[in-house]
Formats: sequence, C-alpha cells, structure tokens
Amino acid sequence: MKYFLGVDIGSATTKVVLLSSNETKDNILGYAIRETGSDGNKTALDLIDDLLKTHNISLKDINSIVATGYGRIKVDFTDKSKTEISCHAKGINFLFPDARTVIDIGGQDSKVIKIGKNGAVLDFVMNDKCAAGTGRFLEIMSKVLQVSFDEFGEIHLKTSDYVDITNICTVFAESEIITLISEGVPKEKIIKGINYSVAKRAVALVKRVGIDQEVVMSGGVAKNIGVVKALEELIGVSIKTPHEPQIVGALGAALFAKELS
Amino acid sequence: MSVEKLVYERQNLIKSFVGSFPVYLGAKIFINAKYKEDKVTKISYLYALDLIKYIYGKKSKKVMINIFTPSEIFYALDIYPLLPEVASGFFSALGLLRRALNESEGILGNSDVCSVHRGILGLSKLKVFPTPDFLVSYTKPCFSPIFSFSLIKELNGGEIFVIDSFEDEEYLASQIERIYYELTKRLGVKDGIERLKKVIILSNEAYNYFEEVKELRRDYVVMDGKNFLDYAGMIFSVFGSKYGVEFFKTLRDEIKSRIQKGKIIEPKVRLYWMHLGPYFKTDLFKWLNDKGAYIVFEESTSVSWERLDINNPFESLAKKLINLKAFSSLEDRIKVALENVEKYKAHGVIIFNQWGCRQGSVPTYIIRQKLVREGVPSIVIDGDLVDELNFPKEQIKTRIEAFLEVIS
Amino acid sequence: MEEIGEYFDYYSYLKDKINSGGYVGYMCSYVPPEIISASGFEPLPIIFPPLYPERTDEVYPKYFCPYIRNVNEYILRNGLNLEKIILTDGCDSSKRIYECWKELGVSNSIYFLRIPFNSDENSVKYFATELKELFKDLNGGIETEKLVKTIDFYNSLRDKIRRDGLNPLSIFSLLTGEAYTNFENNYDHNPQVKVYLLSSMFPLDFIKYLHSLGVEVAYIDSCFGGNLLERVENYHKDPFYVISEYYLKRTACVRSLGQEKRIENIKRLKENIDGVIIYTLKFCDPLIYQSARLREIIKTLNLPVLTIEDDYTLGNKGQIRTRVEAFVEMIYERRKVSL
Repeated sequence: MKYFLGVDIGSATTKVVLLSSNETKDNILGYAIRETGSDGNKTALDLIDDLLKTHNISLKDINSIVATGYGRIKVDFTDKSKTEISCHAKGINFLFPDARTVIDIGGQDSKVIKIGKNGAVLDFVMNDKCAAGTGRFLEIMSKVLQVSFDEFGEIHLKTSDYVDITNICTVFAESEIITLISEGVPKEKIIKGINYSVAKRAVALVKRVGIDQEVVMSGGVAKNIGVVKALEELIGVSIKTPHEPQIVGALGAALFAKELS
Repeated sequence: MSVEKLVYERQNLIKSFVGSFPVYLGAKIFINAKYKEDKVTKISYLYALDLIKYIYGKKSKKVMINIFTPSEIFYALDIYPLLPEVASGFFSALGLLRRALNESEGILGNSDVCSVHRGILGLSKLKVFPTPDFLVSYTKPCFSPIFSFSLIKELNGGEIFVIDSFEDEEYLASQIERIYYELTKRLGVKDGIERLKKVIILSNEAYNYFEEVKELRRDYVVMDGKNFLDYAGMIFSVFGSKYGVEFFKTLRDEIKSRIQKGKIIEPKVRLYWMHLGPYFKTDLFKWLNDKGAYIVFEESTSVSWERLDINNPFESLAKKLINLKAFSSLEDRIKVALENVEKYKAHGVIIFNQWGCRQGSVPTYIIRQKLVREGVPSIVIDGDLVDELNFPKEQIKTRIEAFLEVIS
Repeated sequence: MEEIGEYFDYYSYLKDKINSGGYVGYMCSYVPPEIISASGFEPLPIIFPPLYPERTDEVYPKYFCPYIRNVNEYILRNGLNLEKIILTDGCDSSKRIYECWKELGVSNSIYFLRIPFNSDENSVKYFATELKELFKDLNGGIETEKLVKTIDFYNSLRDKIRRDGLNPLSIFSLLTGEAYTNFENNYDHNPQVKVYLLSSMFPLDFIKYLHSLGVEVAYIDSCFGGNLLERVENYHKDPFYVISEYYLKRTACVRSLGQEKRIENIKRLKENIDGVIIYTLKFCDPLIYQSARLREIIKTLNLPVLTIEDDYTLGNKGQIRTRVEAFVEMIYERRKVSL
C-alpha cells in the first residue's frame, strides 16, 4: 500500500488530503482543513502532522507530496507543485468521471475549467481580481446581516422570491444591503439575492468557456446550496457537487503526487 | 409574457406582427392616440415603428450605420438605416438591455469596452437585430463601431464599408460617392442622383427647423435639455427623411407654442452638457430640475453644417461630416463649449465620461481645466450611458450637489 | 533621469539616445522606420519600463491605454522633452493623446500621421501621400534615392534576422535601423515550451518573465510589428507607394479588420509552437474586440490559447504565474496524450 499527500494552501484556508493506493484502487483515507493564517508553510506542516497521527502513519511512509494553491511556491517540504487549476480538474475527475465543466468558487477567486476524459485541463478562465462572486463576498455580507453564511443555503431554499442586488462591487453592495435592511426588507430575501449575485458572476465566467455536461461545482461556495440552485437556474443545466467541495484541490494534488512518483 | 422575454426569445412573433398590416395599423393608431398631446414623442415613435417594420421586412436591404455616417444616402435609396448605437440607447431606456450586456461578456470575455457597443454585440448575437446586408461606419467620432461591426459581420454576416476621413473633403466625398454608387448598383437603382437631390432638399428643410430650434433656445428654456439628449438619436438618424422634416418642425412648433403660452422655465442654474447622458431610467435629471438646475444646451445638439448643395451632394455631405464638432478634437470641443456657454448663458458645464469611451475620456480632465481657467465652472462625471451597473447614482448626485453649491 | 532597472537592456539604450538626441520617436507599427532612417535620424521605438502612474493620474483618467499612460508617466517624472515624436490615429487613445500632448507642449515637435483603415488602392495612394509629407517634414525635401537606399538596407536587416535567429526581440534591430543590436543575452534556443505572443503593446519585461517560467516567445505579433519579416519588393520606381502598400497590407496591428493573414501565419507556424498567449493590455479596444474571434479560431486549429490581462505593470505576478503554469501543465498533458 502506498501513501500520498496533497496540500492546498489557499489564501483563506489550507487543506490536506491523505490518499492510499494499491494496484486496483485509490482511496481517500482522510483530510483536514484549517485557516491558513500568516504562515502557510507552518500551517500545512502542522496539518500534515495531525492528519498522519490520526491515521497512525509517519512521514517516511509517505511516497510523495504535491503542493498547490497560492502558497505552493513557499513550501519547504516538497519541491513538487501543481497549479490549483490542474488539481481541481484532477480531483473532480476522480470524484465524477463524467464531469466535463468544473465551476470552482473559492474564498478569493473563482474559475471555470473545461476538462477532458482523464481530467486533463482543456481550457480555463479565472477571476482573481475582484472579490465579488467569491466566498469573500458572502463572508462580508454574512457579517453585515449577522447571519452565518452556513445558513445561506437553507434560507435560500425556504424563501420564495428575492431582492436584486444591483451593485457588482462588493464595497458598494455592502452599502446597498445596509440600506435594504434599514428599509425593512426581510433578511431572507436579501440572502437569496446575494446568492443570485454570486451565481451571476459565475455565469459570466462560464459563458467564456462554454458549458459541456456534466457540470460540477467545487470550492467552498459549493456548500451553499442556494448559489448552486441559482447557478443551475441561470445556466439551465443541473450541477453536481461533491460531499466535501473544499478539498478537491488537495485531492487532485494527492493524485498528482501518485502520478509523479 | 414580459416584454423582455418577447424581445429576446420570441423574435419571430415580433417579426410576423410588424409584417402584418392590421397590427402595424393598430400600432400607428395607438401611438397617435396615446401621444396626441406630446406630438414630438409621437413623431419619434412613428418613425421608430416604420424603422422596425422596415428592418424586419422580408425583402428590405438592412443597413447598419454608425452615428455620423450620413443618413441621407440611404434614405435616397428608400432604405431606413439602422443605427445600432441609437438602438442600444433606446433598449436601455426601455430597460431591455441587460440580457444583451450579459451576452456580450460571453463574446468578448471582457466588459471594459464601451457599453453601448457591448449592448450592440449582445443584441446582434441574440438576433434581436436582423442580419445586416451592409455595415457602414465612418471613422468618427470613434473606432468602436468599426470593431463591433466587424464582429457582427463575423457572427452574423454582411458586407462592411469603412469611410476613412483624413480631414480631406475631396477624399471623403469620393468615398461617400463610391459607397452610394455601389449601393445603387446592387439595388438596381437607376435614378440615383435624382433621388439624392430630393433627399438633400428634405435634409436641408429639416436642418432649417433644427437651426430655428437652436435659436429659440437661446432666449427661452421651455424643456430640460435631457429631452434633447434623448433627441440626439433623432439628430443622427433622420436627416434626409420626411420624418426629419416633421420631427424638427414639430419640435420647433412645440417650443414656440410653449413660449406663447408662457410655459417658460427660469432655471436657477443653467448647465451645458458635454458628451451624452444616461438613457436608462434614472431620477437624476428630475432631481436636478427639483434643485432648479436645467440643461440649457448640449454638445450633441450643437452640431451644425452648411446647407447641402443639391448640385454637389457628395462634396457638401463630406463638408458636413468634417465639420461635425461634437465628440471631436480637444481644441474643437473646448471652443464649442466656450461659445455655447456664452450663447446660452450657462453657469457651468457637466462633462460626462462614458465608461469605455476612450476618445471621449482621455481629454476630459484637460477640458475641465481649460474651461475653469476661462472662468467656467466645470465638473467631470464618470458614468455610463446604457449600463446602470456602472452608474453609482448616489456618488454622482453628491458630486453634482457640491458642484451646484459652488456655482451658486 | 530616474533610474531604469537593469531589467532590460533596451531601456538603457533608450535613455542614452534621448540624452544624446538625433532621433525620432514613434509608438505605432504603421510608422515606417525606413522613412526616419532615410531622413538621417535614428528611429526610436518609445517603450519605457513600467511605472506606477501617479503623475499621470493627475492629468488623465485611468481608463485608456496603459502603455500610453506609462510613456506619459515616464516623461512627466523625468521632465523629458522629447526632441521629435510621431503619433498616429492607430487607435482612439493614440488619436486623443496627440491632441493632449500638443496642448500641453509635451514635445518640441509632434508629427501626426493618419493611417487608413482600408487598404484598397485609394487608401494606399493616400497613405503614400501621407508618408511623403512626413518625409518632407523630416527632410525638407523629397529625395527618393535616399529612401530607395534605405529600403535596401532594411531588407538586408530583415534577411539577417530571418536567417540568424529566433530571438523575437531581434526585431528591435529592425525597428531602430540596426542602431540597437544587443539582444542575444538569455534567449533559450531549446526551450521547453514555445509560444506565439499576440498583443498590442506589452511591457518588454513580460518576455523575460515568461522565460523565467520556462516559456519562450518564438514569435511576436504586436504594436511593435511582428517578426514575420517579408522583404519589401519592387520599390525602385515609386518607393513611397510600395512602402505604403507594404505597411498597410502586412500582418501587424490588431486594428486591421482583415485577420485572415494573421490566421494564415499562425496556421503555418502551428507545428513550431505549443500554443498562443494573448497579452491583453487593459482597455485596449482593438485587441479586446479582435481577440474575441481570434481565440475561437485559434482553438479550432487545436492550439491551446492563454489570455493574460494586465495593465502594463505586470503587478500581479502571482496571478500571471498561476495562469502561465497551468497553461504549461496543459501543454505537457497534451504532449503525453499525443505520444
């Protein structure tokens, strides 16, 4: 049995996936997520330590480690790195072999990736200039509304209509929402509107790459069923999501670790 | 079914409607009834109705032109030219441009270019505009239509003609002539020159009324200049057609009638507006009026040219084009602004900066500085003509309010 | 003069030339350096190192060509008065900056050259007249012989570049009339990944940055011109006409409406390159409009395309790096598959 580690050091959170592999099958043994903080390298090392302890495996049992994400360049425990684009493609391909379009909305950026049969990246487009349409937007709005964004999904499903958030810029949208609250607009409608706002930004990206079924969402925002549903409605195609969408990048990195050894 | 759905998803319905004579007649009667009192709006809607009927007609030649391409040569051939830039503004005014703008992001992968042209691309891609037979663009006021027309040609088809100017009347005249003769050949029109003469007479007649309107406004303000920003579409589209004559005559009559009836406005603050203004629904202009501020004249209305000579149609059209001093060079715009500020006794100037308009925005701060140095208070407003998402209304109002305080 | 980093050799050459004089600066690929050389001046493509445009923001809005804003910034910061410069109406930003620079007295002598959009017979004739006027302005008279000799020389330069090397920046020897030839430095002749760089204006440092990520630019297609260098032929009788036709009809500049030649070139080079990188300068309208279609067409040729959007400063190196690395990974995957 061989063991591989994939590490995804994002600007908001760091994820580690432990993969076990024999001749016939690859298996996700375990994973861990933690806030990156100021030292991504250290956070990753601590996370790896904890994860391996939990599974009674030592570092020397690990065949290979691959790092991805924004912090991949600074790590000292491996020299193998892959971009998160390739890793998300690989990871989704493992979980959904029929996936051909991946919509990844993370904490600070969003991307749409066209993938081939074996998870190869065929085309991609990214938005990393603007917080609008990313997890950051939801985080800020959740603070303004004093509602945890974990509840955004449920609330969305329970609410029938929504209020359109017209500002595309996060900063202005924040003022807009404060105004709506003061006008007595019910929070549920605002939340649903916020979800639609994020979905609409993603649609713009999707259109640049084109839709090929199956469509899968990854990244932290995929946990928000409201955004998923809104996106499904806007592109007219059903979207699948993995159980744990945040670890897709790290999973892909672990799979690359296997490939590269 | 909402109007938006109808326009974007059921175009074949619309096309068959306008094709059907009873529906067309019904629409005409409706417009005549609804706008019985507001005759100026009535004429513009009747023109729009005929334009729509023409461009969705089965046998008509569909020609897209940019705002400064001379409309006369097309009316001479019984063609109603479609001005996509004006149409983009029109759709925005009806609140129907959002889908087209979103669609354009998919085409361009970018939303930094002029939103008017983003709208044009979206409307073409979504087949709201018919597939053009010809696309004609002059190189002024800007190059955007040359590129958007070029993309439309790639997406939908059509033949593209670009009119280079070089500030050379002779060269420009020869190009206009070339295009006119090319079109007459294609359409099998034999009496090209005779038709052109008739159209030139109509254009001159319309122009006479247009000049009267401008003169009357020097002494009397009877309506806010926002109306004239809306009429800019007509200024670009109808010279050479009977609608041109009717429109400007009606406008002149309306102004005269209001003066007679004493329906005169005494603005507290008189403003000169540069570039165009937002077409989508906004309370900005009413808000200005409520503060006693009125637009008394606009750059877009200040266009003027020598009467066209029926014996030298192409040369005089070339002269007209070269002398269009709206949205033109830094020097011209400052000169025209100072002239108009004096003529129309403006207290200040609002210089509107359209998102994505390179030719307009590069010199704006310098224009403002020069005007201020000449003693004319001026302000630059960053906004958008057709995309309300690029129009931070409250910020703009705050800026203008401060400006008005400075002036008074 | 403010310190220019040693990042690019051409910048030092530029600095020296501006100090010593005897040059005519230009910023557009439609300006024939032959005309400048034939007038006894040194053609000088104006490209400055990227700076944060704080002085420029005082006089101009942010939303137009960042390359022009950068040139403006450099001029303002260093209090430069460019001896002579040629501007064109190649694009809306360029057309208006001429008027602004004229108004503000940025250079002693600015010449405005008009470029037709069309390339039919009349337009070629008209542009030939424009070029004659430019020549007269620089020379005081028309000496056709001088121009013919210069075209000879430039043809030999083109032959040399085609023969000698693949380093794309060798076109600078052509653009400066062989006054600048120092470009061999760190070009990798056996690169891992070779690309065709399509752009309008781009910071020269971008090439170096790509090199550091293992990507070599084999072909440039930009506002400086491209390095697909055909000779000028049949120019002895009417060199102005021939030069006019050559510059109007060749594959440079994303502003030209006929993109067929560009596509043909890419098709021809397909086997020699791994992909196409489109460096989209923010707010560059011609490129934004044209690249929409170009991207699709190049994809149908089964070539991977990467679009990098930047405001000339290469400020977001981390983001650019991620995209370029992902692009390289994509290319390696394709190679594996095709094996």
